[in-house]
Amino acid sequence: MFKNTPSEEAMSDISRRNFLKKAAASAGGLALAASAPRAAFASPKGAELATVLDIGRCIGCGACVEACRTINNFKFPKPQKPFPVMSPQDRVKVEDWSEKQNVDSRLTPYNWLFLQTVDVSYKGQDYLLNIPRRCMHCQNPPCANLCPFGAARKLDNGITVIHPEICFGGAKCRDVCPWKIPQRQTGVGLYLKVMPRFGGNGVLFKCDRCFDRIEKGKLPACIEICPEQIQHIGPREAMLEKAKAIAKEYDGFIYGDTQNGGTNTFYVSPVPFEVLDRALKEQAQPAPHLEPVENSMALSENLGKALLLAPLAGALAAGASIAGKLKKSQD
Amino acid sequence: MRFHKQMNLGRIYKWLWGLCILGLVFTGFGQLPIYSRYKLSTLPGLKWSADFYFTHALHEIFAFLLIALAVYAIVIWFFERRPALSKAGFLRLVILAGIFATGIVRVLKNFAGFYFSPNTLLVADIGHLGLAVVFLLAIAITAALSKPWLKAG
Repeated sequence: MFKNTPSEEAMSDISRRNFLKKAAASAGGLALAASAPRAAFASPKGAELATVLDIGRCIGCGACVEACRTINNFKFPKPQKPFPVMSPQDRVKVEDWSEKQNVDSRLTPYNWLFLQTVDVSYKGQDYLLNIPRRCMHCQNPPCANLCPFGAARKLDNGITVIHPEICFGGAKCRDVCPWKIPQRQTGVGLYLKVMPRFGGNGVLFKCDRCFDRIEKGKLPACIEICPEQIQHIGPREAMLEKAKAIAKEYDGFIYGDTQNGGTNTFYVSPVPFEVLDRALKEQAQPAPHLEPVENSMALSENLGKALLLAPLAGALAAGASIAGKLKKSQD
Repeated sequence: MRFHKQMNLGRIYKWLWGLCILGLVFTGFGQLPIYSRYKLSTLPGLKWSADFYFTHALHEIFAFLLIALAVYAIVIWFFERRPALSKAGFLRLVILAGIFATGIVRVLKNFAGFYFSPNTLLVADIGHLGLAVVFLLAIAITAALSKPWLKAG
């Protein structure tokens, strides 16, 4: 899928740079990223991987954001300008982040992970919480289910990936995503070779959970680099147990286990997520939200089950018609 | 005992079939983000056409009806001792079968717990879209040339 892969040096470069940069910033207990546990999360084929993010311990150092940007740099879009004109111009917006690649305070095609920060009070205690936000990697992802071209797909280890060589840039995935995660860059992708004036608008980008590193038994960049080791990855059942154990320590809460019918990302917080969501909005933090999310694919699943009865309905109707006519001809 | 001369399924059936095809084509193309882009959803009463979840549900409802109508016709066809299909009829049948098969894969993939390989899904997704366009062309041509589903006689 991608023409080049990052070198091993890239990862240890980040480790060295971050150690030097962050050692002064964080309190004691900074673990060298290079010594983070590797491949302890290998799951049997077909078992989905999930991640736990203990936001009660996130110090907001941003090492994960920088590691993600560095390690995934070779996947970032390289648009050619000028962009072809798209019609109708008042309805099709150019989304160009290529001159703003350094923006790391929100999701962009060049920034797949960012930190929200909220100041909240709960049960008489003040908290300053940092929340790394990215794709939730839903168990039944509407982006993958509803992409008309099959560009967004879910791998059998639970990771949702958008294939940049097939994506036409319609951004339907973003529209149907309850958290509006995928981000579009105009001027790249297949649409340029078809009819760029009338169809498509670039390619959508989002966290792919470093699926290429996972294939080689390595950790996703954001997990490996974290000096506080707030993230964990492993088979979903085990990670859910881990999330519950951490939540119990805090007398806290989990988000992502049941949202949208279940995701493979579990945030654990000492503060209820409704409180955090309210604070995100009051403190003008960038999207996405932390609202409760019903299963967006529920109706489709139910209608799909009903579709299996359609042949029976047709056969029964035909049987009734035949029986009726036979009876009529006998009378 | 023949009571469907030339297997005439009746006017109501044909209207229902036509309505389903229209509904499937409209909601099917609505799965692409074109109605908002081309301002169809800004027309009075058509805001829903850009609601992907709504048009998806409608598409599945019309698909239910079409499958039921197709099976109805097949059962009657068997009862009528399988009158011969015309070439135009056979062509439409084959294309429809492809649309159904790729459609079923697309329905199954939306169920949590069902996994298909990315390549299977690519074939199903692009195949469904491609065959739908081919089917539209086929019915336009066969309608223009007045080609029935069954052989005359």
